[in-house]
Amino acid sequence: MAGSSLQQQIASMRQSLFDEGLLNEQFIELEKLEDASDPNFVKNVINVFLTDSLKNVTGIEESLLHLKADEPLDITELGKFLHRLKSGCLGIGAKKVPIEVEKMLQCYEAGDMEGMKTILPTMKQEYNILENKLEAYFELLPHIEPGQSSDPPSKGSTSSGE
Amino acid sequence: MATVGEVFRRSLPETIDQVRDDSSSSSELHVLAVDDSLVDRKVIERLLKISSCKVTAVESGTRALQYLGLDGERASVGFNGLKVNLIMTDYSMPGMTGYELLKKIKESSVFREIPVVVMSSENILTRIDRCLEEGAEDFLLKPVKLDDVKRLKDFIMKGDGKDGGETRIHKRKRQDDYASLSSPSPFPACDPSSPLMPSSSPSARSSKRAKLRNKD
Repeated sequence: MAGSSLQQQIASMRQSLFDEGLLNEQFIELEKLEDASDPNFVKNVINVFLTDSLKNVTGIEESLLHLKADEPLDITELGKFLHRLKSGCLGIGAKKVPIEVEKMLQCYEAGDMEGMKTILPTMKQEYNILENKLEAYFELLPHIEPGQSSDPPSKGSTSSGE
Repeated sequence: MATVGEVFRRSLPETIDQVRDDSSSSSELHVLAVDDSLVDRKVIERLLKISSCKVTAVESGTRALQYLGLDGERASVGFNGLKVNLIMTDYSMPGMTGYELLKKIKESSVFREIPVVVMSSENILTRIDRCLEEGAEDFLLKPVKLDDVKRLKDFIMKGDGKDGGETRIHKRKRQDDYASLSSPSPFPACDPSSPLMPSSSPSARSSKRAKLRNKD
């Protein structure tokens, strides 16, 4: 039946987010905050995360690429982008991206621009992977009208082997 | 959507609405949340709304002070009349840190009695102690959970932070969750106390808090 195979697809995609080490239990905590009064909460937070993170990743990249070798790091902007990206990641339960961001923050604290540039491609790659998977997952989720009594797949997928 | 919950400077009527009594409207707590992360603001708003609290979320310490009317301008310009029962602020923010915001609030004769809770994604003992010493009610590790908010709310509702300290909120033990976050090798610049297990410190901190309480 079409309905249940979509459900299965959703459940399986959701599970893979965990199995592939992209998300941790913080994401489940977000899912718990969803109910009839705010049935699209997780989707909304992820949208905010993706929009905000894109700005931060772009900001980090541009800051690093435009800095000359002996130019001091732009304390205000670069650090702000790094920190906000890390906060956002932790907030939604992302696992791999904040590890790379943390490495970059360590370099930032030490004034090590070259170190940050070395880590940047990995960080971007991890972010792109996360971004693509999250977008694909949320694309499948139906938009639920507030007040509708529904069982969002993310909460009902007890068969996903969690 | 991006500005949900964000409160910028409001244009207020000339008259000051000085609603100072506790029954600011159906005994709902009004929480001022301060965090520069948009994601975190959205999440904390949701946590607070689920806990039946009114939320005003702002993006910086400066905005928070403006909201409270503590930004150096006359109180009649900034104060919006709705009493704030609790302030939850992120520690690491650009410009004014949560710690600096905490200090400013505690220095204010008008607002020093509002409980302030500091949130941070980093479990750094010196940071925690610094905040507690400055008068923070508690220190929460991010990501903040519903249980944290519920505990906080219960605590505030019990005595507005004025009780003897027996029902002190315990800092949530999340050390193990952050083990996966830290790099395999210790951070060179990191605070040496970071490997501390929180379970060994709450009692030390509670007694410190009790001592600090006696300062009032």
